[in-house]
Amino acid sequence: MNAFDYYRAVSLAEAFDLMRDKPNYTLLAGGTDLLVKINEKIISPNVVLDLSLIKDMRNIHLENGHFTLGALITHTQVMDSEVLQKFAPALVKASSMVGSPQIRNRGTLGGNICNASPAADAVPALLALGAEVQLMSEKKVRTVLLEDLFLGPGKTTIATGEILTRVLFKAQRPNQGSSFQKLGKRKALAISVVNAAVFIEIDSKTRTISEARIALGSVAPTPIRVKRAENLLLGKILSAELLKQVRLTVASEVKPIDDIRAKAEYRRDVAGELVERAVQEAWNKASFLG
Amino acid sequence: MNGLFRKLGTKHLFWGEHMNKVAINFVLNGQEKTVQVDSNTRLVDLLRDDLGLTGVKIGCGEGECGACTVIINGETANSCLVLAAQVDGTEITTIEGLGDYNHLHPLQESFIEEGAVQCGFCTPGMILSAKALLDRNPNPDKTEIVNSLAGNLCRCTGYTKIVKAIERVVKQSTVNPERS
Ligand SMILES: Cc1cc2nc3c(=O)[nH]c(=O)nc-3n(C[C@H](O)[C@H](O)[C@H](O)COP(=O)(O)OP(=O)(O)OC[C@H]3O[C@@H](n4cnc5c(N)ncnc54)[C@H](O)[C@@H]3O)c2cc1C
Ligand code: FES
Ligand code: FES
Repeated sequence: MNAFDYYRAVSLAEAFDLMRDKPNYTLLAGGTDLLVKINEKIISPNVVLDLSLIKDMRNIHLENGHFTLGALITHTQVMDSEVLQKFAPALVKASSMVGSPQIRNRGTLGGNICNASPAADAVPALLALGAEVQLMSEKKVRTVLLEDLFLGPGKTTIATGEILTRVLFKAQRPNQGSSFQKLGKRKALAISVVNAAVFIEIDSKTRTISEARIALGSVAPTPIRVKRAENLLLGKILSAELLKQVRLTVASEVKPIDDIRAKAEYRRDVAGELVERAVQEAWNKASFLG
Repeated sequence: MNGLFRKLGTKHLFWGEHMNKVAINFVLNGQEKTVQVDSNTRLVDLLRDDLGLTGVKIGCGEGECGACTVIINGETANSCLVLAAQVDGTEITTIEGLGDYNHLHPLQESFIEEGAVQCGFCTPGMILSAKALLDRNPNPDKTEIVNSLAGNLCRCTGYTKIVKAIERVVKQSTVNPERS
């Protein structure tokens, strides 16, 4: 491991001070992505700034139907949260499928997002929930749609001096349903070959789909939404025929590549299959409760 | 405690020629420790090389195998993915904190009884994952036991005996609660 200075902030103000003083900082949350990269000499930071003790970024807050999650909450905290289990089940499922208990105990939601891996599990779930993220710098706070954050593998629009502080989305209502599906290579620790998340709202009068979001990981340079497939669902009642159309549309809309984990062709098929399952599950949950 | 953390954020904690030395305080297997570490030292190296706790193993060095598992503030972690500097102010348990030759921990006893140890490389990590599970949930079912070991690889045993050994402790402690 290369030599670097280690600093630890206990408040956002302290973090911003350090970030001003040491502009070549690298932020550290749970370290489960960063330390692998440092161990393997993929990156050699000069200054590591540990955010993990900033209490303000560790809360799960639900008010008036809106969730505000601190970026430092771990996957284990997500899994164990009763309000998230009830009102954001797709996110809970995604976090519960990350790595191993050891990884989930330290790995954070913010780290999963900021690492900007196309395979990040929590990201499609959050995209399906329509999440926004709050980016804070010393002088400014901005809120952006999560889907506008990613530029490519490992690349985001987060500027120097900014910290991702919160993740915001609406709690699910009874006429809404969500689902997360993942295909990995092994039982545990599997980086997703493909993952998919779906959110559906059913109009309680017409029983047709009034809102739909479908998000996928590992089928493009960033996690993506497949809007042609989403549009197919709108205004309709779910049927076997509609599911088949959605599946085919997804397979043609994604842009996977061949890599060591899977071939592009295979990824297209799996993407279609996982979305079909997720749409079915989200629909069942929404119509069952609604 | 906050005062202690705050100091770390400031420069005067780094001394000597190397700006990147850090003083940390933590509780290790029930004993308070104060040590000085390079800021790029991994927790696994501090525990093994500086503190002699060789029950903490290094397998992959990238969070895959779980041989380096320790318990930090009640939760398991891969000590190859934690900086020593980060554990300032925490409580850490390694396999050395569970029992010794004469007074084995019930999990250690049970692993021996069930033949759940072959080469032994994975065993400390397995037992610590099991302990963290039982501390949270004294009566887990088989699925919960299997899931709790997802981050611990064993190349020798095929896991069946390991799961059995943990189930045995669960059974014993429901019959005899003060043992867990
Ligand atoms: C063995 C293993 C298995 C894994 N399995 C999975 C898996 O199944 N699914 C999955 O999705 N991931 C997996 N991961 C990846 C990783 O555990 C997760 O992405 C985790 O959520 C990362 O969070 P972290 O807090 O550890 O991030 P860190 O490593 O601390 O940070 C990651 C990156 O984000 C930046 N960053 C972190 N927090 C912030 C912030 N608040 N603001 C701005 N920048 C920030 C850091 O500078 C760094 O570049 C695995 C990793 C390992 C080692
Ligand atoms: S050595 Fe840490 S997980 Fe393998
Ligand atoms: S006993 Fe050899 S790796 Fe598990």
